[in-house]
Amino acid sequence: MRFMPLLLLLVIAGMLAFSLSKKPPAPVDHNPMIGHPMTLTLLPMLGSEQQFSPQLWAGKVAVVNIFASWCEPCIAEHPLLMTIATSGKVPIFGIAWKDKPEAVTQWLAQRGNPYQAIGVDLHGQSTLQLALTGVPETFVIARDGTVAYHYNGPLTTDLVNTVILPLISHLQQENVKPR
Amino acid sequence: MSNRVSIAALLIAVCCSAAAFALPADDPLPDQAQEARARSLFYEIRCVVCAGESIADSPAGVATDMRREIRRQIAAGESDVSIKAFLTSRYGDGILMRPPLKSSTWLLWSAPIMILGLALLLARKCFRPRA
Repeated sequence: MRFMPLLLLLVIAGMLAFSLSKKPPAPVDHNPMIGHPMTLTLLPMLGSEQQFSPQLWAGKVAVVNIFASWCEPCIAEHPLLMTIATSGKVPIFGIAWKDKPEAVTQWLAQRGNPYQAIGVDLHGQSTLQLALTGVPETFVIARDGTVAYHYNGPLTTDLVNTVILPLISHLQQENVKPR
Repeated sequence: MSNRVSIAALLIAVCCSAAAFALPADDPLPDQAQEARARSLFYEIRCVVCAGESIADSPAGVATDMRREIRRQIAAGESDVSIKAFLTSRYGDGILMRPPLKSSTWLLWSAPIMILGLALLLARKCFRPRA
């Protein structure tokens, strides 16, 4: 009986060690829009009077990339987006998150522009709609407008080649049911 | 005597400056009651970017947007329940600082009480009057 406190300590220490050894819970990686159409407020389009909206990619398989000129990891994934864009496999649309039009224009002028069109979300109106936790994030949209895939973080060559491009090919072969 | 005064002045200055940094510069709601409701809700919502913090003090972009949206919904007449439901629909249950009591979280909630109960049971000798 006099060893009970020690035993209790060991049990609690064991439980703590077990919990601490586990990875912290993954940040939300199940975007609520998956399987549903992308909800997005109308945004001004960079360099145009037109408005940026999901209508831009209606009926097409598309990649929607959320980025910002002030975002370090966005610089890392940019060459991958350029490669995809120049391959012509799929149109890429961009949303500049909490960013100023002038800064975005300059950033793209320095690095190249992979985007068919860019929506400028100066105030973060899209944050909760898209359930963003930061930038960059990337969505793949199916022909019927539903979100087929979401990735939180900068794209990697591996991810693009083994997951995203195959998914896009698959989605492009799907027959579209007229809405 | 003047030493104590300067120390007191220094402490007061530090406390005041701490208060100035407490909340990020946001646009508060004009209605004080609504703003108070917003502030208390902020403490219940987890900042997704900064581990363990609520959105009340976080300067992160996502936290700022959440605070603005919560204020907007309060001003639009939404209840705390519906605002929290909206946030969990976007980000999952993990967005709440206090996870809801569900079958998956009963152990989380009851463990401290169970451990306390067990400890008291073992320590009951300490509560008997000494012979």
